[in-house]
Amino acid sequence: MLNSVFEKTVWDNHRAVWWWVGGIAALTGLMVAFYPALEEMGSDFEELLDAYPDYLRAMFGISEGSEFFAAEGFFHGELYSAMLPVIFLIFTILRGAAATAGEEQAGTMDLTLSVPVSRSRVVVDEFGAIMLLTAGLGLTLVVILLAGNVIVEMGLGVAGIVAINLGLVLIALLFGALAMAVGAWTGRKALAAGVAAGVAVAAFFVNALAPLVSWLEIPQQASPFYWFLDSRPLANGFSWAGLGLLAAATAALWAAAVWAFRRRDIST
Amino acid sequence: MSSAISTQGLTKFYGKTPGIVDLDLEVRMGEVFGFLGPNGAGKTTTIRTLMDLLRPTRGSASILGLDSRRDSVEVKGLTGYLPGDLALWKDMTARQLLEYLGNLRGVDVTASIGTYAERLDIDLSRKVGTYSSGNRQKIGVIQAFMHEPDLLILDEPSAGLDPLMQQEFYHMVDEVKAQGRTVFLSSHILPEVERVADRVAIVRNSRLVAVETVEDLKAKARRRIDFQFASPVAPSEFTAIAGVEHVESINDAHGVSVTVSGSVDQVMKTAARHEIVNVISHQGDLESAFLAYYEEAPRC
Repeated sequence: MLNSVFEKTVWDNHRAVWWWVGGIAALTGLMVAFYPALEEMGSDFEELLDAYPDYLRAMFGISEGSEFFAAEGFFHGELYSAMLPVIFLIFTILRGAAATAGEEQAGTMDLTLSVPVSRSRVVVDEFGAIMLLTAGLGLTLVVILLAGNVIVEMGLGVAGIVAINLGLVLIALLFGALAMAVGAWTGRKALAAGVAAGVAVAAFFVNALAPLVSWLEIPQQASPFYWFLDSRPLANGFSWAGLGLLAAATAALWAAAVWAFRRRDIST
Repeated sequence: MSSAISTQGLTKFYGKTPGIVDLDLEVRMGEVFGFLGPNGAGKTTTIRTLMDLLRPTRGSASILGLDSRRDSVEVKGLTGYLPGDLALWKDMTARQLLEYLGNLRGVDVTASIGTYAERLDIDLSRKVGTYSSGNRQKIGVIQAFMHEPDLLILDEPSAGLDPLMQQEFYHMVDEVKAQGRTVFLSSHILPEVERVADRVAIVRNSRLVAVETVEDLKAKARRRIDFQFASPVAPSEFTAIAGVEHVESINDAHGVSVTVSGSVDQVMKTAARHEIVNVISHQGDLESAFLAYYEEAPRC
């Protein structure tokens, strides 16, 4: 039985989330399965990669002298630099935008707010549900990488696996909270998703291209992707500065969503 | 004794467009109060402001002695609200939806849901998205009544209900009144308000035009009656009757259209002297029923 807006939001997603879990598991499982073959052919590919233009190498997190074909470099570059963040951000941005703005546009917010539940509580519960679901996706990755580590002997550290997925979950929640805050402010779902996606794309390219463009070095520091990836968490474990910034920004946006939603007229 | 609803200069503008302006309204405990006006008059704006879904531009409202803004959560605990633009979650069954709303209120509504579902003749086991609009309205009515609130705020409650279900709904309102609880309902249909309400407020163009008891309203209400006779009848037979404001001949002199305010007794008795083929009473037409108020009201 559903006893809160939190439970209702989780329930609303209970079917869809299994498809996300399945897709992410399949993608990552495939990478793990391919890894031993790639490792064998490593040196040939290394030469091929050297021939890649710099901007492509930067985009995939291949820095000068890093070993792409060590497990750390491979997963950092292939999965965590672009592919998984894109998937996770789509997941949280869609849900953040659908939270209050989606309910307003569907007209069901009148019903939610006709019961003795405060507006703050609605925002807190809806975002809490998104946190739980996203953490579930992150946990799926942790389990698969830990299992892969044992089965195909990738030699990844447990701290690194946990740290990079914690960062991934947090950066996804950050942009989900941004979508939710814009939605709470405007009541418009498409705008909320658009703004969050636009900021995410800008932040991604600022971080990815900074190694090539000197004037991006300062703006890069403000990119959540920099906070997420710069410390190379898969190799180096927890970077509390990076994770702290991600968590603090997420909390600030969440608070902004509460504030924005409390002060507004609810549209029908 | 405090009132169920009391507003002081309640005003809501959407930008420069007025929703409701300077509304002073007093709804007493235990009465059924009708909020009447044509579409777009400001009824829904007023109700959504009372429910703290809209924030007043100026003025204030108190509900059951509580401030509609500051104490809104407490107010909602004591109130049942049926939105005018009812939208429901489509992926749950009707029963799941009603139990969810009951759980959010912290009230066990299992028994009362069953009772109301039986009375309104609806099967609650289907997904909400598959119901007709009439059945969705029933779900909306049940969620407003199920926790037996002290105050019911209902925005166009009978919209979409078939006549039989409307009667059942009126019985439900009567019962709430008999238990000493209060009902505030909006409508643009005069006979509905006449049937259930004790007092009526009339709004037009975002302003309160009048507050009347239903008896006074009936006495003033203007209606048009069209008679069709078997043989030609002279319209002049009706002109002298008290309350008759306009008479005209229709259907090649075989018919007479009479506009009357107040009692229709003498009109009917006069018509009954002839063989009547058909009678149509246009009493549901709010525009003509309140023409008197509308003409007196300042034009804006």
